[in-house]
Amino acid sequence: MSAFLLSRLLHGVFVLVGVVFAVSLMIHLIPGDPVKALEGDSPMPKEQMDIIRHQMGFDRPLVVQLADEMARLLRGDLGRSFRSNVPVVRELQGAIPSTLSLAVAAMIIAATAGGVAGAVAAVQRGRWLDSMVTAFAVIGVSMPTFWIGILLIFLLSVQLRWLPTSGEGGLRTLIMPAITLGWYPAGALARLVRSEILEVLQQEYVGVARAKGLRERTVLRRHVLRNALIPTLTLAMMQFGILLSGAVVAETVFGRNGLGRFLVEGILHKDFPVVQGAVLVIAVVYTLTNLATDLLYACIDPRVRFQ
Amino acid sequence: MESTVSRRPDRTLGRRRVRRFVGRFRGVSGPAAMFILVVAAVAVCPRLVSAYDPTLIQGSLILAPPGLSHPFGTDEYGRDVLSRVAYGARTSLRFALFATSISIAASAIVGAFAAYYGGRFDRLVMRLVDVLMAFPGILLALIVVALLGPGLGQATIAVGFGQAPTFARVVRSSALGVRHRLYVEAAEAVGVPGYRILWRHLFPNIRHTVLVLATLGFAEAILIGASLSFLGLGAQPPTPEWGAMLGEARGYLASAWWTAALPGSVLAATLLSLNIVGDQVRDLLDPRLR
Amino acid sequence: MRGRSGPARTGEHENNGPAQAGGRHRVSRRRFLTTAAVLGAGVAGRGALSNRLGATGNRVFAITPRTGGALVYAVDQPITKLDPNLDAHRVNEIVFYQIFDPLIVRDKSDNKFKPWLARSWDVSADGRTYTFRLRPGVTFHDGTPVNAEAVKFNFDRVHNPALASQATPTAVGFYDSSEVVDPLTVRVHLKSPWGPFLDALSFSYRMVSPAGVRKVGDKDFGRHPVGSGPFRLVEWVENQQVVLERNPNYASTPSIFSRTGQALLDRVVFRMIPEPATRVAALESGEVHVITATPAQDFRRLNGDPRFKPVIGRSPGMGWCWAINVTKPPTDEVAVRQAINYGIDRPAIASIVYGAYQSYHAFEPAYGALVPGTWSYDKQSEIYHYDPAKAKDLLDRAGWKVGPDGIRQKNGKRLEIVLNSWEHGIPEVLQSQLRAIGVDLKVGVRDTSSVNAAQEKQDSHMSPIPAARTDPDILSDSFHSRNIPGLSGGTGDNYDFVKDPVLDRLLDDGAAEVNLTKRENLYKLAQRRIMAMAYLLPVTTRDNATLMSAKVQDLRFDAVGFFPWLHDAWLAR
Repeated sequence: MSAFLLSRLLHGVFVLVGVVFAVSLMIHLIPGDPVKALEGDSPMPKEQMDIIRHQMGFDRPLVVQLADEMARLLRGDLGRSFRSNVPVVRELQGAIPSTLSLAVAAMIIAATAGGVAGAVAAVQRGRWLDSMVTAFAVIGVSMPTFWIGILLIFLLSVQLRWLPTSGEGGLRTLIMPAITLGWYPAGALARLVRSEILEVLQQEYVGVARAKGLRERTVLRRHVLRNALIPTLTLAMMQFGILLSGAVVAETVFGRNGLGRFLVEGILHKDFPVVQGAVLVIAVVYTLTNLATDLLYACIDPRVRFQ
Repeated sequence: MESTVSRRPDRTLGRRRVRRFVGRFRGVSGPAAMFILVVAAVAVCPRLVSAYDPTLIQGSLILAPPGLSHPFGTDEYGRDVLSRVAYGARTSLRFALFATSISIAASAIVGAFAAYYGGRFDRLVMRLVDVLMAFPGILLALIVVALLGPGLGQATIAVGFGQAPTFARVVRSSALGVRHRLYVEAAEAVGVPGYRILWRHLFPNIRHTVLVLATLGFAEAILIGASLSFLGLGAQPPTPEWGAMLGEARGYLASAWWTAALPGSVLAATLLSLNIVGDQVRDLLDPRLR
Repeated sequence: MRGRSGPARTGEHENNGPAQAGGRHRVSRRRFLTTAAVLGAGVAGRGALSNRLGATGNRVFAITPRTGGALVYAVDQPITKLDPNLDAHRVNEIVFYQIFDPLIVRDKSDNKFKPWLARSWDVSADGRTYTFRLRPGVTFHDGTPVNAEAVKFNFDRVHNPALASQATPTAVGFYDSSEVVDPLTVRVHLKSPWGPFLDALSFSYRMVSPAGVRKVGDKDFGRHPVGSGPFRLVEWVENQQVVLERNPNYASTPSIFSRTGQALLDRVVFRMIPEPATRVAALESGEVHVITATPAQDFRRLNGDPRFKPVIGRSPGMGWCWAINVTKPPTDEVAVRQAINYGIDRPAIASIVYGAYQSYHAFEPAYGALVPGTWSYDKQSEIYHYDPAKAKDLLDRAGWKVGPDGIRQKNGKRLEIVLNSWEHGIPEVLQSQLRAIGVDLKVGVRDTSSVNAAQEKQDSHMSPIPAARTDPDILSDSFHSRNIPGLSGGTGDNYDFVKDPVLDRLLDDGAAEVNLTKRENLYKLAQRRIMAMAYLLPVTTRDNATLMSAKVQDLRFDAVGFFPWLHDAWLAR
């Protein structure tokens, strides 16, 4: 078990280094001048841009710049944002809790709504409730995220005045973004849960359990749900990783200070330290969720063993 | 298991199967299948429903509500929304189809192989998948477009490969569940070569998962297309594309609902039908549900 | 990066729109009577009532300015740093113009400079020495005096290469040194005469507290700003909001303000809401009072609503215009560039894309390198009025004949022109109009950085170069050969790649001229040259057209049209 953990952690470090290096290389290769991105809303004389370029070291060869950045990251220094001059660490301190709370809230909504709906649909297969769930799930996955967000704001903030349109602070500002973000994974989960349960229902051991005379509810709980959980968990955990960077749309619509928005602003403004810092955090969270998924597998499915 | 006997089923059996297959389209799946056929027909020949050039800008008709001459109204440039939906069907369906084909083909192969062969190969492949997955999707799309330039083709590649790692993991975990089934181990024991076991035993038993992924992926591709078009990475003006239409219409939800709601309904109905039919096909294909 | 944040000529209009204004007054008077009756009876909860009626009724209560309240101002981008010496991003400027004051200010009513922190100033005959006499008794928020020493500190800080200032108009070459003559007199020496200097002083070169900078260091000062303006920073919530409160000791109001002494508002809250639909919703739900950049469709929808009123800042400088690459075929041919200019129907474009703003004289058709209202604007350069026959004739004579698909060809090459933009709207209409004269316009709409990069790499022919500025020297950045991108490895903003000795000479002379009449004339000639050679495709002006709550009173914008003077603003109940 500890050997397994150790190997997984080593694997995690490999993923982190790989991702951060690949991202650093790529953002340098994306066309567009980082100095240009720092220019304000009206043009700057070329001489001034040359001074900035020199001061920031962009006139050095790419290899030197990259080596410099990697060395800085290895020292544990995430650097300062080009645009705000604020240390990236301090900016991340604000963005991480915001995104995590949003992602967790969205995941709870998705797992509850999606899981229950999927299970109901499977048990009621072919009946009207099944069709309803499918319709709900599909509408969930066929509406762009920003639409759901804007419609919620229009309904709950402008018309009913129940919730603030945007911003952060407490549960009231979390409700609409979490629904917006959870909508898609809820639909996806509902469909997957339905499919997996249907699959498990056909297994021999379910037949055996029934033949043993177990009550239908016991069969469902002990044998069906448990076995349907594995692929579902995989998707749920993966959705969680996607939620972190995918939250950008919800974060933009609701004006939240999140990681996804931080990353996209960083990419669009060629703010290298910001991109590196955000990608690092996303990769760490991703690796940890992966590890947790694997551990959970082992707990749920006796066939999966630590190797 | 029946498949080990005859490699190619004989004709009558095939015909009987097709008849049974079609006969199974009961309830809502009939109309759903019809709707897909209609959308596909419009995608092939948009003139069936539209009387206008989808790129024709008419200053006198800006944001005209739905009426007799323009059943879906007009957009902020006075273009006929119905015509744009019709021509957009072609662009969007082709885009989603190609993107999903890429992701499904890549993930099915990678996932199934990794699960079957296991060991070092599995670990190497899954490690690469991990690196790709830890990569924020938007970054991958930006990079593909930065290297190849913006356009629908590039967006197809970005979306296809963006989806593949996630799908590969799902396929792998599904295949792992089948890997140690009795019939696989039995086939191995009698010396059936690996590729044939994959093809004959593994794939048929995971294709329902793949199908669910494909229907999800298809819908997702259209929506990611919307985000990419919104960032200016997808279809470029004046090409009508559903995703881009939805993105641009978001500012009109309060002032001109038809520019958003009508194309949105067509999209939702298409995806709904695809899913219903997908489910039906899934049920028919799943060997244990027959 | 060129102005991305949307609308940004001089002059502003508040409620001078057609018809509605009168009607609105009548309605509010009636409502006022109802409100007054209820209040007089002393029954109703005032809160609930003012929620429903206050917004409309206030125009009547609005006889004497009210002190107090918090104005909520929604901006569209993250506020990153509040350091006028080092930064000139519009969103930051909107905030730091409230915290930091300049030495002088441009009065848009007569286009002349008026005193602010400097009581008076004079310029030496050779245009190289400026002497400023400061207003006595002014202090920064931290209590330290605004004196000659502090002014010298600011000039030196802006021009310190080690700090790599991004405060845009502060050209590097001209500044030499500053000299403290006495505690309230400072002399600035320039290496060479620089015509736009006073203009730059009027909006850039805002005075920061030297003690404040020394306390936290140059890099962190942007998060701990200390100025001498009417408001000071109290709270900063990253990517959420920046809260300012009234500076109780403020006494240095310029003559162009309507009131002296401290500001009327207790607080100003700048909220960052990037999504336009959400900003509009926040205005509608009453969470915010002013929003930047209201989309045209929402402007149209809410304009007649008595709860809101339009607020328009007309912006000078370069409007919505596209640089035309003069080195890449086919736009290297002057006939092609002129044909494009003749082939577009600007009034039609303005009414299709910005129809809602037209009655407020915002986003109007533009025909010159600068927009009307900019100092030195040249009316004679308006030569390209819509004339498709002339456009076709120009192309025919240049050898571009109409091909089988309706697109012109020459030597087997189709007449294809690539145009990029970071906003939808104008490109779509241009594409449709140019098709009629046989030009195939390929349009790309993507993020600012990619748009600029594509033009630098010569992948596109046309790239937008809007820039709000009160001084015509702005033309140098886009047309002087020294600013051509890629020269000596650096980036410049000359996206038309124009290398025109005649134009370079006019722009150089204009920048060095101190005599205003001569200077004005040089820039008129420059504008004429640019348009005669069709280096540019001007389409519309690019203004600050937005909506605010009807409660907000006396909110005015500065000469650039984008930056509010919140000192005079107040909130009616």
